[in-house]
Amino acid sequence: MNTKNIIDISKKRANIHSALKDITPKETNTKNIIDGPKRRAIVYSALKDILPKKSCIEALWILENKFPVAASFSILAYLDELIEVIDIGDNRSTLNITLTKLLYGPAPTGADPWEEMQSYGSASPKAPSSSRMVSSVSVGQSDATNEMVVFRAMLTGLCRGIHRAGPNKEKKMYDYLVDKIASMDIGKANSANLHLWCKHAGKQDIENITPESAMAKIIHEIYLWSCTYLGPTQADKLFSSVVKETESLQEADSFSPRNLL
Amino acid sequence: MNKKMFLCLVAALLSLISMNAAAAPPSLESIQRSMDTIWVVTAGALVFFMQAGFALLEGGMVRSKNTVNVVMKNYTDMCFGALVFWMFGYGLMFGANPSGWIGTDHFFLGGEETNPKEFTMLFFQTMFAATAATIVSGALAERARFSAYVVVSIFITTFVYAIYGSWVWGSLYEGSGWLREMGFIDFAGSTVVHSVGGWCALAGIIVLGPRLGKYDPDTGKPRDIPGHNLPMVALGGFILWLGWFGFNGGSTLSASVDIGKIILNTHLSASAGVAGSIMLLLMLGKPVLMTNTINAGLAGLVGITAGCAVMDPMYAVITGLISGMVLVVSTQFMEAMRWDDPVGAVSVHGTCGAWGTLAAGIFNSENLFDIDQILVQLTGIGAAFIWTFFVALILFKIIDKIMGLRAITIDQQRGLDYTEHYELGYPEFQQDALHKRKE
Repeated sequence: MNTKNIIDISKKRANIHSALKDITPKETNTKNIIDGPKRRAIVYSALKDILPKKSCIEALWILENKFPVAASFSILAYLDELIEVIDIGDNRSTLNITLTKLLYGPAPTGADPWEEMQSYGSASPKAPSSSRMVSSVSVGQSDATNEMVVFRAMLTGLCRGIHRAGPNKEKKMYDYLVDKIASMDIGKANSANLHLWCKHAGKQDIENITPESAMAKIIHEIYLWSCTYLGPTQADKLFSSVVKETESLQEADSFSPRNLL
Repeated sequence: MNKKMFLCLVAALLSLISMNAAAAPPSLESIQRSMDTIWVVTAGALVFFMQAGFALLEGGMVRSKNTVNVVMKNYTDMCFGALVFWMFGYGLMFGANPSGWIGTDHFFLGGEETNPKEFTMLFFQTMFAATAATIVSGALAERARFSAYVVVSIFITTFVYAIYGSWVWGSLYEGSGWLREMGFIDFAGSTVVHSVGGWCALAGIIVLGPRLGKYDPDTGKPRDIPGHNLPMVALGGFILWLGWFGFNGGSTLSASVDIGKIILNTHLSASAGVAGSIMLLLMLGKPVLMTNTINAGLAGLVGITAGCAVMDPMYAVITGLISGMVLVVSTQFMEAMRWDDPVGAVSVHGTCGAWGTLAAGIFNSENLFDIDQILVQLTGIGAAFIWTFFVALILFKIIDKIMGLRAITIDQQRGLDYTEHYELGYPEFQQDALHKRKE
């Protein structure tokens, strides 16, 4: 290792150290930032000095579409997502530090870049890797209708909430749905798709469900299960939070998740 | 000119005063009649205000998505109740009652031959009838269909309440109710109004079943489903307490000197109800909830309603204390039986009404601890339960069969505000808005 490299590494460490010292030890990067515009503004201000504008906008769309405001925001997961779609060079650690500092430290908030995002349009990011599709909403799928995107987002949110409610709860819910399929009156194809989704314990996106009323029936069955096994108060809270979370999707502008309730 | 006009006016005024002084002074009897009317109508207005108390109390105890539905039920059962009570209920309850079991005339009260006192009586009793019916609305909250409830409340006001009332308070004209003849004491309606409402509510709860997810399927234990606005519940409790002064005080049906003791007993018993409930909960090591405390106040009020005119204040306090304790035990019994009563209507009105009626026999200051009187009281309490509960049970079953009493699960998910009334209680703030507003 030559001297120049050693100096570079030392400089980087010093930068990292100075960036981290503003962050209090209690603050972790799994905190939930519930203010969407603020989060966009902060992420944008972190990215704009490092990435070209188009990439920044793409990165913001990934933030909007794949990291719901109401859910825990993992910066590392977000950077992994960006690397799949955007060339960020060797700026991963710098971005990690900057984002951590700006999101959880006492950072000034810039303007919300929403209008710029709109003017660039929904820069279509590449489909994420299949390993990450397990727990995320496949909003990038071009063949999915708005209804289906919203429906899948709701299912994902509900399953996540049920999973958090306790061990084996999610499995019980899938078993319950399988038992109820015959009485749900949603048609053969939909029943088969729902059955398959339950069999894979939600690890694979549910295939197309049509019409809207069939989606609503599935959501209603999950509500009944939630009321019975989680309790009515928790069920109402879960559904409310999932509706709000799903409403942040772009597709929800043309199809409100409330239509499925 | 102005001076002249002023003098003319003074002269006219003086002549008017002198003319009035010359007229015969009103008789003591007519003054008393006027005072009676003023008092009973004022008390009736206070009882009417209790409807607001019920609406707030019940509305606050349910989830925000069902508030409008509960308030609508309170509002409409009062309105329909007033109409049917005028048409049939008053006649069945207070009409000529030669058999002792049912009134037979004075339907659609009115006409030139009607004594003005009858209008006052009808107004006051209409408020009582509405109170009996509205007790049921809270017990069926969050899962009963609005239209079916309205039909049920009409039948309760017209038949169930009025017929039992005719046994105890009938008749004003000819004959008498069989329980009245036995010497049954229920001054302002612990049983006639409150237990009747409570037992109807119990029948409804059994036919309707619990709210979605009320009981944990694995443990069988009841889950808390907290109300959305507890300050609203507290305000409702205060309004009901205030209204009760009219409820019990007005039952003298005259502006008499007894009103003071009656209202004092009412207030002491309510206060003792709260104290009794808190003491028992602390002894049992259970949390003292605000909702329970407010219900305990109401339990004390229901308890003293039968005997407020015949008890000394000391016994009113004892009655209230025990009422508060009975409430706690009854609420736990209801939960053990898996009878879901969102507002505790059965415990407050049914059970404490029965206890209060018994207490009126036990603590009757003219005849303390008289066994015969206690047996009469037990007969009246038993008759109320048998008549009300079983008739209401049949009624609920019939309505359920014909109209469907229970809201379907999707409606319960969306909230009855939207599905029954297309209106949200809190459109701007509702945290549990689970549905899209109807366009």
